[in-house]
Amino acid sequence: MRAPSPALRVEELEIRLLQDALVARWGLDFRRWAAVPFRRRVRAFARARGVANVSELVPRVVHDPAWRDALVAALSRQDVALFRDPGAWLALRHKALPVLRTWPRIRWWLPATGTGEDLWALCIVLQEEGLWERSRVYATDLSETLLHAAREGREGPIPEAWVENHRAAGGKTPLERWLRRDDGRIALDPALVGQVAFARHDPGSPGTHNAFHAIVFRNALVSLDEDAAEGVREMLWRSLVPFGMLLLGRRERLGNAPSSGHFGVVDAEERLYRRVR
Amino acid sequence: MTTAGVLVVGVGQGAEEPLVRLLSQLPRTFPVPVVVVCHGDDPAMLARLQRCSALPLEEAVDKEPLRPGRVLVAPSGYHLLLDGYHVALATTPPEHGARPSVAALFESAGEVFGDDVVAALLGDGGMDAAAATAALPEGATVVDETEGVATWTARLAAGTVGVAP
Repeated sequence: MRAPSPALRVEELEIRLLQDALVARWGLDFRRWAAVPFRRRVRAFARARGVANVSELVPRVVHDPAWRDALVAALSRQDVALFRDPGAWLALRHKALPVLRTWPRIRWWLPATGTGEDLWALCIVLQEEGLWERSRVYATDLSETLLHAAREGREGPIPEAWVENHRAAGGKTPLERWLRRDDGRIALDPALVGQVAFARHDPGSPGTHNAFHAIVFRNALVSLDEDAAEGVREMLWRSLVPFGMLLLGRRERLGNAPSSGHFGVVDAEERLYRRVR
Repeated sequence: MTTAGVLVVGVGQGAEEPLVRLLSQLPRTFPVPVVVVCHGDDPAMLARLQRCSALPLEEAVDKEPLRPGRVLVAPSGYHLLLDGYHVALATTPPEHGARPSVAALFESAGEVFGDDVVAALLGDGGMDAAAATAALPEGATVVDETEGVATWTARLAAGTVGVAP
């Protein structure tokens, strides 16, 4: 392994300045995010905004909440399809729901809702499986901007890949029934969105959490460094009722982390776990 | 002496044959980690590659360590970056029309290993491959799936190319 190049060392310094500014000014703590993906996201944001280098972002995000919000959205946004990795949704349908069904009420949490793809998928599955009436879904994210997109949807047609994913995920109804708004946007049926509890929340923040029966948290641990990810896994565990279910991303795992002993494997390939202690 | 820290391989859509040729030339004693990014999404390819590789070959999981003589293949739908001696996956948007992106891998490999990067580009990787070439650090070694990798592997074995610490 080489020492970083002089240019990279300067950029690392600029990134530390940006992280310190965000935490000091706004209480937004990105200091324990995985360094390399974080750096690439910041670089891409600076480029897209026509800013010559990372340190020029500092005064802008300190003084201008619009820049702050745009940066936070760019840092946490995932580019994912609806029903991405359909096998995970099949596992949820066939291995998690039969257990969750035994509870009179099911409290769901999506701590990294982003632009809403997994939220919409979950709501559709709950409708299709007749569990919507018994469920209460809490959708949170670090970024208010992204949550707004999850609530309000976006322009454009429903991508064909989404339809295929939905079918592969055991879909039983036409997607348009849930996602097509009268004004032509793609967004979740207002009757469903109206039942979801949205809130801004940083999954890395300390504090106690609700007792949830299931948590869907896919591909957000990859944004954090190993220590922070372990802290979040511990928090997820504390936030679940005994035997509550946890769905992670397809290439994330609990591994040998200390928290892994708190979970039992329901489906190893699809990263479906449940709280056992 | 020239040293090698990592072998990174970018594979254009449908270029499985050259990848198989390259992998089959790496001996069981191969002393550096190998990281592969393939365009396209063929879930059955991993098993085929495992059959032709003398080295252990797996689909990468987030944050797992690089190990000498082990081949990690980027999962479809994720960028694979190097963060020191660990893998960092990302679901950021496609780069140069691709996710996983070869350019993203090569660039991050260059930041970790400098000119100790050894790179191979196989098949037609389009814009992403062009960007990957541009992202390679000056002095990096470029090999191909035939003579290039065979010669370089022989020099590694003979000790005329060192292994980066």
